[in-house]
Amino acid sequence: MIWRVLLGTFSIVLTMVVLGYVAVTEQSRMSSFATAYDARKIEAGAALFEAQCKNCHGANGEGGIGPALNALDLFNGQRMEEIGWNGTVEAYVRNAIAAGRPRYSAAIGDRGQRMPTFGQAYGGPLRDDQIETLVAFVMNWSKAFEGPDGRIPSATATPNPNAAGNDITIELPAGDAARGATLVTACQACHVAGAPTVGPAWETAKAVDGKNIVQHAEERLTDASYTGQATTVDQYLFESIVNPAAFIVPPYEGATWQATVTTMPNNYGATLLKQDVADIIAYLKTIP
Amino acid sequence: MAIWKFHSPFLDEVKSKGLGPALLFKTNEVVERITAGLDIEDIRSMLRGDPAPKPNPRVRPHADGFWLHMRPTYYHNLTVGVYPTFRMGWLSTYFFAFEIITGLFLMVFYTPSPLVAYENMLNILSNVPFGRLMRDLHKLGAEMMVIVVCLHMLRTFITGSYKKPRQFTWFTGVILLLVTLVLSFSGYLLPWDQLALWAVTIGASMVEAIQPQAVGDFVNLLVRGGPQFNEGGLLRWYLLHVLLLPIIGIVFTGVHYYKVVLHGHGLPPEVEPVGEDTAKRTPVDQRTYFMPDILTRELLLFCVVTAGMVFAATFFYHAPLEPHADPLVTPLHTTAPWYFLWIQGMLKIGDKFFWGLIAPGIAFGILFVLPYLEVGPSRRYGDRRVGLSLGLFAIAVLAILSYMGTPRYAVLSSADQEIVAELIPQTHPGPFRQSNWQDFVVGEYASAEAHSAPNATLTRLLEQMEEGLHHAEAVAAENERAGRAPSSGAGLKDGEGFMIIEDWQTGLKRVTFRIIWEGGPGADATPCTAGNKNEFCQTTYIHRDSNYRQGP
Repeated sequence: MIWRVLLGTFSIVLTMVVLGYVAVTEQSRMSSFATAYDARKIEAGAALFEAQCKNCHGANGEGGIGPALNALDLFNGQRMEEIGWNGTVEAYVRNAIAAGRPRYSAAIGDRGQRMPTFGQAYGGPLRDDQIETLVAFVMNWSKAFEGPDGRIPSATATPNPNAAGNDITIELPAGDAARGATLVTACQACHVAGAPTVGPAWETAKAVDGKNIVQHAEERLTDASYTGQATTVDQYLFESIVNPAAFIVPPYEGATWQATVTTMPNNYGATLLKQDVADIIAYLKTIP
Repeated sequence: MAIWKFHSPFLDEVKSKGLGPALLFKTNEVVERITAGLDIEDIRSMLRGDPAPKPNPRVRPHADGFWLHMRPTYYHNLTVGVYPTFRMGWLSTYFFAFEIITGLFLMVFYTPSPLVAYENMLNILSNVPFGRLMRDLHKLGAEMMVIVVCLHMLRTFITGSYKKPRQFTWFTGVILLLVTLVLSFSGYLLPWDQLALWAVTIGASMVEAIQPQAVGDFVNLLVRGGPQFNEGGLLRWYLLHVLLLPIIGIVFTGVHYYKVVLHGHGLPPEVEPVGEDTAKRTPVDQRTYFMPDILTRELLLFCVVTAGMVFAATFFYHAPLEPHADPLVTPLHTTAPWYFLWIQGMLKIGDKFFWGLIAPGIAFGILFVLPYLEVGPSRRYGDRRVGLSLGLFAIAVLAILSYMGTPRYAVLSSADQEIVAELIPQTHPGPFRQSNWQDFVVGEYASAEAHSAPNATLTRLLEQMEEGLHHAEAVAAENERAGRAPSSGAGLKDGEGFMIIEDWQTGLKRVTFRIIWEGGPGADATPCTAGNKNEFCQTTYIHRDSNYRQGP
C-alpha cells in the first residue's frame, strides 16, 4: 500500500515537473515552429513558382514577358505608388497573384499580356494556401534588398541628379545620334516592329501619313488638339519619352477612359539619364 | 420579524461546540456525502490497512454512489494480479477517456473545413501554449488505444474468456474494436495534410470497388462526401470522429463492462474445473475488496500511465505535420496508418473488391461469431491447442500482410525514381532534408566521387545514391542474363548520379538530383530538359530555417 502511494505521488510530481518544463520552453518552441513552417512555405512557393510563374517572370524573377519580381522598385513600393495602390507590398503581390491584372503593371508597357487570375476564388487553379506560399516566396526576394538596418530603402530616396526627370524645359546636353541608335532597341518592339499597330511608327514606310518623326513633331506641336507643353521639336520628342501621357497621338488614345493613359511606360524620366535622352532625340531626328 | 430570521444549522453547531470542532464536523459531513458513505475516519482506517468493520462502510459508495455503482465491491484474489488480465481492459477504458479529454482541448481550436483545417493545425502548434503537447498526447493515446484494445482482445482469446456465459461480452468487444479502429482512422484525416488526405483516400478507395458498381459509387459518395475527399468528406468524418463514434463507444463500453461485472471477471483457466464458471461465487477468504486495494491500484496505474504518456509525448513522440493536402498530387509511397497496413497488403494481392472488402469482412465476421462457433467447454490452454495455434497463425498472417502493405513490397516505380525517393521522400522529411543546411555547398557533385565532396554530409548523401546505383547495376546484370532489357524494372545499367546545388534566394537553395543511365541523353543535351532520354531529374528547394529535424 505504502509503495503504491509513494509511486503514485512520484508519478504525479514527475508529471508536474514535465508540464513545468513544457511551460517554460513553450514560447521559444512555438516561435521556432513558426519560423520553420514559414521557411517551408517559401520552399513550397519556390516549387510552385517554377511550375507556374517562371515562364513570364523569369526563373530568378528577372522578368521577361512579365515584370521583374526580384526588383527593388517592387519592394520599396514604387510600383504601387505609380498605380495609386494603398496597401502593403505583400497585399499587392497577393492581389496580383490571386486576382490577376486587368491593367498592366507600371513597370512594363502593355505588351498585350495581362497577368491571368491564379486564385480559385477568381477562377484560377491555385488554392488559397498555395497562393500564400507564392507570396512568401516572392516576398523572400525583398531580403536581398534590405539595408543593414533590415529595411528596404524607401522609394522617395534621393533621385539620381543625372536622371532625365519629367521637366521638358531643361537644357539637355548635345546628343550623339550614333549612341542613341544603340539605346533604342527596347523601343523598336512597339515603334518599328510593332508599328503602326502598337505604337506610332518611326519609319515613314510604316507611318500612316508617310511622314517622318520630325515632320510629325512639327505638325502636332501646332495642332489645336495638342495637349502637351512642348514648344519646340526637341521638347516635343523629350515629352513623348518622359511624359507620354501628356499627349496621345490619335488613334492610339483608344476609348475615352483610356485617353489619359498610354501603353507606353511612363517611368523613362527616372530610368534614363539626361545624356541618354539627348542621344535618343538626336537619333530619332536622323530617321528618314 | 419572521422574514428576518436567518437559520443556519452550521451556526448553531458553532455556538454549541466552538468553531474548530464545528468545522471538523462539517468537513466530515461533506466528505461522507462526496464519497457516498465514507467519512474521514473510515478512509483513514481503510488506508491504514485495518480489517473492515461490521457493518462494512466500504461497500456504501458502491451501493449509494453513481461513479462506483457498477464496479464490483470485491474481486476474486486470482483476478487482481497482473496475470490474467494485464490490466488491458482497464487501460482500454483509460485511453478512451484520455482521448476524449485531449480531444476536447483540440476541438476548441479546430474547424473541420479544408479552407482552415491545416491553418488551425499550424495555429495549435505555433500559437496555443501546450498545443503541441495536447496534439502529441492525443495521437500517442490513439496509437496506444489501438494497441491496448488489440492486446485486450488477444488476452481474452488466449484465456478463453469468450466462452459461455461471456459470448455476448466478446461480441460487444469486437464492436468496440471496430469503433476504435474507425475512430483512429477518422481522426487521421482531420489535420488535412498530405499524409491525412492520402492515407484515408487509400482506405476509402476500397468502397469504390463494391459490386454492383452503382452501389459502389453510391457508397463512395457517402463515404467521401463527393467524388473526391473535400469539404463534405472532412465534415462528415469529423462528425463521425467527435460525435457518433464516441457515443457508440460510450454506450457499448457500458454494455460491455456491465456484462463483465454481471458474470464476474473470468478466473485463470487453470484453476477452474473444466466447463464450470465459478467467477461469481467468490469465497470470503478469496476476496479482495475494491476499497481500498483495487482503488489504490487503479489510482496508481492512472498516475503512472499519465506520467508515462506526458513524458513520452514531451521528449520522444511527436505527431508529424506534412505539407497541406493537395488533391492533385499523390505522394509516392503513401501508406495507410500502420494498423491498416494489413488491408493495404491484401489489396496488393488481387481484386480490390474481394481482398479489400470481402476478405476483411470475413475476418471480422469470424471474430464476431467466434464464441458461438468455438463452443468447446474447456478454457485450459492444453485443451485448446488447435485454437491457440490458429490464433498465432492469424497473428503471423497479419504481420506478413502488414509487411506487404509497406512500400518495400511490390514497389512499382523504377530504380532511378526509387533512389531519389530514398533521399527526398514524399511522405516524410528523409535524410536530405534533415541534414545541416550549411553543409549544402553550391556546386555539382557526382555520386561516383562521393569521397571528394567538401564535407561529410554531402559524402553521406552521395554515398547513399551510389549504393542505390550499385544495387540497380546488379539487377541490370541479372536482367541481361535473363534476356530482359537491362534498365527495366529495378535495374539501371551504367547508372550515374549527380547532385546539383544552387543558391536561389536569401536562405534558399535549389537542389537537383539527377540520375542518368546507359550514357544518358548525350553530350549536347541540356541536363534536365523535357524529352531527354535515359535521365531522371528531381528538384527540391531547401531553406535554412525549415528545420526538418525538430519534428515539428
